[in-house]
Amino acid sequence: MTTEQLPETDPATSSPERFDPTDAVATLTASEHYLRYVWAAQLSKGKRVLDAGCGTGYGSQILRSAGAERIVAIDIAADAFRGDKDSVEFAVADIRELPYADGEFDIVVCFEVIEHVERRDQVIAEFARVLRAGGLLLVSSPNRDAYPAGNPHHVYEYLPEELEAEVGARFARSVLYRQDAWLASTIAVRNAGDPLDPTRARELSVHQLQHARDEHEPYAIVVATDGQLPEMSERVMLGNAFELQWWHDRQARLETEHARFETEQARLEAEHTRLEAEHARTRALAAHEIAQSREQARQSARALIGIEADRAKELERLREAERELIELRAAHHEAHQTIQAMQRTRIWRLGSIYWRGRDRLLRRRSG
Amino acid sequence: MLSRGNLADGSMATLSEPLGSDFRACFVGASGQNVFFEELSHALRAALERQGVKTEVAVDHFPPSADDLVYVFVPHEYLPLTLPAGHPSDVQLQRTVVLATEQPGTPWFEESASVAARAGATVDIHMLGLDELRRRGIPARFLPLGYVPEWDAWGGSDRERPIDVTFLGGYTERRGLALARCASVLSNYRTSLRLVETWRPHTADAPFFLSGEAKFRHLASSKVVLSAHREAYAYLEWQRALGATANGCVVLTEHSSGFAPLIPGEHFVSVAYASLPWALAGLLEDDVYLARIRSSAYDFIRSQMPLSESIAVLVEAIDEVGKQPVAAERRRAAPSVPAPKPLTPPVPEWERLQAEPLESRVISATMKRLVLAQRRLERRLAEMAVPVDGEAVGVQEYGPKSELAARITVALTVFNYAGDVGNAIRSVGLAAGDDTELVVVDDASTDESAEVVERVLVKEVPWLRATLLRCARNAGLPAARNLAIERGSGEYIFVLDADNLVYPHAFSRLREALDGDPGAAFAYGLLERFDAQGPVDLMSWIPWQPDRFKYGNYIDAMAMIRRTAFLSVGGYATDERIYGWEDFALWCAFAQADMEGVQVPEIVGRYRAGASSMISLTNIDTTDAWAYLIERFPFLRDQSDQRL
Repeated sequence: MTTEQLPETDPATSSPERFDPTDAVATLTASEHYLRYVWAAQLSKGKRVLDAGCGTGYGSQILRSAGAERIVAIDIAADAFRGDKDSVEFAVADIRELPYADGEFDIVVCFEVIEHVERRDQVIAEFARVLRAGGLLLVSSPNRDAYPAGNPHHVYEYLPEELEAEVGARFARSVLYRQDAWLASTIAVRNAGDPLDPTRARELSVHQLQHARDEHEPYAIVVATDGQLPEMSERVMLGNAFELQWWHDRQARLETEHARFETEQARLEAEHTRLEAEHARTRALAAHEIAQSREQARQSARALIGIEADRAKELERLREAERELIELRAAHHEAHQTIQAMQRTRIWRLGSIYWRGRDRLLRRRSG
Repeated sequence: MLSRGNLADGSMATLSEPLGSDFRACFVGASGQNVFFEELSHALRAALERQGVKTEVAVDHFPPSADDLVYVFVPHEYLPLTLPAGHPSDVQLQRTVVLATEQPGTPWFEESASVAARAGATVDIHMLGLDELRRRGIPARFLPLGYVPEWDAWGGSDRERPIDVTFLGGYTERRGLALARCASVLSNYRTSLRLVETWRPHTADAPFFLSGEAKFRHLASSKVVLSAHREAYAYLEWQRALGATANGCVVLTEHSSGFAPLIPGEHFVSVAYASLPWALAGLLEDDVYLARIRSSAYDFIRSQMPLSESIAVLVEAIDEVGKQPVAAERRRAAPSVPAPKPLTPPVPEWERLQAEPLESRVISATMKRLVLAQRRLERRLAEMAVPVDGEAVGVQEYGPKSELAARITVALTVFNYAGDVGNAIRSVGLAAGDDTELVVVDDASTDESAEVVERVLVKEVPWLRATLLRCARNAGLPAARNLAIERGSGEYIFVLDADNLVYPHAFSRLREALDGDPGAAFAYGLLERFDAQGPVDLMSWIPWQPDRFKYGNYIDAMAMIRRTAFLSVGGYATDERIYGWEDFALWCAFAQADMEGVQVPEIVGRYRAGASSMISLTNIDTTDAWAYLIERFPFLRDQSDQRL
């Protein structure tokens, strides 16, 4: 397998977060999903099994192949199921209201579904109802403490103990299994050859280099019953071979990219700082100019107002002078009238003849 | 301050005995008189009462003579507003003190002077009027107005003055021009420009007319009051100046006469008419100087010219008139009853049109029909010349994409205005906030208009959110405006023509008005009319009075309209009979539906003067247009003027 062929899927964005084995051929996610069903399948032989929240139905098929007498697969979405409807009975149903009679099933399997719904206590009650006395319930949930946070499709993720307590409360006996992911190495004569069948077990002895990370497993599975708890073997599902070169290349690529982003970011930050400085300088300049022109406006207005005030006083004096002038003219006119009237009197005329004669006489004498 | 206040307010009462009088002073006024005179008589009566002189009021009549009764009245404010039955007899006039308030050279002064010549005594509040009366041989007294405690809503505190500039007065072209010249300065400040029409007196009950206590509070909230005279030469309007000064509002006036004892530059600011904008610009940036004038003027009028002292002149006049023996009066035909003269309202435009000679109307109506027909033909021809294939309207968007829906849509229509439309868009760019979008409709211009719009949007105002709709066929202004409005999403619509401009504060002030008055259908501000030489006049200055539409439109299209209101009356009418009057029809539709317009007392835009071809087309003959309006808006024909 070359690096390019390694599929990469992101369950959080592939809506509606349904595991589809054709999308994720042998990823970790695929290993985890297949393993749960393969592990459960050790119980299904000759049993009536309900696969609640079956999705595409790959798990129902595994349970069926393991020899279930009857397998009923339900899902809330009508278009989800893509399995063989002859060997699996598919129905659209809500796990909170199962359309089945009391005690109709020997086993109910509900993997990675319960965290998606509200009213989970009702779901568990429904499972208990459709199980025969002594029937088995297998429920899984992501572990809130270990599973990457922020999955928008998850309504409520359990802590393992919490899931056990909630499911166990309805049954006489229960046991908690923890599902974890490991880095593993295998030795074999031949690694390839046989056609691949994930349900077929290979005989391997598993050795452990590290302790299990107690309470940090990403998944919890609770098996509960009112009868006897079954003996269940531990299982390992090997997915992709760990491609060292691929990871190495990928990391190198990311590192280069990261370095490029960092350079670009530094450049943008520098540019931003420069622009901000320039902006601040422009603003300061503008503010300075505005302040200056305001000051100028103030100064020139004060000067203008001063000059205009003098002008107002001047105008007022001018008007007063005009009024005085008019009064003087009136007085002058009046005086003129009086003089004219005086000059028209007989005494004035006689007097003026006398004065004129006298003047003439005096001039002659002096001359 | 307090001790001086006591001295000013009640010096006579506290420091010496009140003057007192054996006579009652009866202030005779007309019910229709200007509220301005009511204010004056109120102040004088209060001052007289403080001096122990009893006063009373008579409206629209002279009460019967009595030995202890002396009348006081303002002739030119009383006689024209009352019927002869309410006028004083010669005997009553002998027992009357005439209050002269007018400026020589006006018909009002002449009326006042002719009555004063026959009256018992006369007091004049102006030195110049006094001189003229004396010159004519009328023995008048000088009653300088002064500080009136009733006018002081301020009290000398350090209160905020949220209004930068106030103008209160009757509109004349001269005042309109003065304000228009100040428009660009004013656009940087908060203003309250309240103009009223002068063809009728303003009584106290008009909602838009500030008087009394409200006016004084307004002045106490204003920094500067701007004053321009009705006519070129005038003397200081003392009542106005004192009202402002008593409230710490600095008076900026053009040069006037008779201002002594006030000192220009110290107690008020006096500049030439042409210098008003420069002085205003400087003053508004000079809080220190304003504060100095404010306090020195206030202190001066309180300490040096309280009315409580000068009122002695009126007391003296009353005593003199009262002491003369009452002449035996000839019996009057009728007892003294109020006789107000009913106002003859002007003739509404619709009635005036109907009274016009039929022939001239027929000729102009025919002419208009011909022009309209020609227009239709031209449009048809143009349509045929331009093959229209595909989209009838091309759409292009500019500026930042925003997830935020615009609150204000500016609807700008263009038809062959390549020379001006760029300026219009630049002005919108400066006025627009983040919540403003511009929708330009190019109504199939045949010049470069659309290219200019595009260039300005891309190069000069890239921050402005804008859409350009290019019509393949010319649809006409109202249809183009409706299209722009339909395209925009703003809750408020501002209508702009391509040759006009907005001031940067336009949208925010109008939006504020609509936000503050959820019942208002639209808000409009004053507009500066301008031409190539600069400011010319004001427009849209008349406050909202629905019945005023009977005499014609007084609000330009440049207004901010609430979209819901706009849609509820069906938008702009596209009927060709009212081409150019679409805005008029829209306002009428609001008025008919009892919706309100709200006036913002600030100059928010610039309107380019010069007859638009469309308006002049409608104005060839307005009968058609009026018939259209009357038919749809019956209130235009109502007899009552209740909403005026």
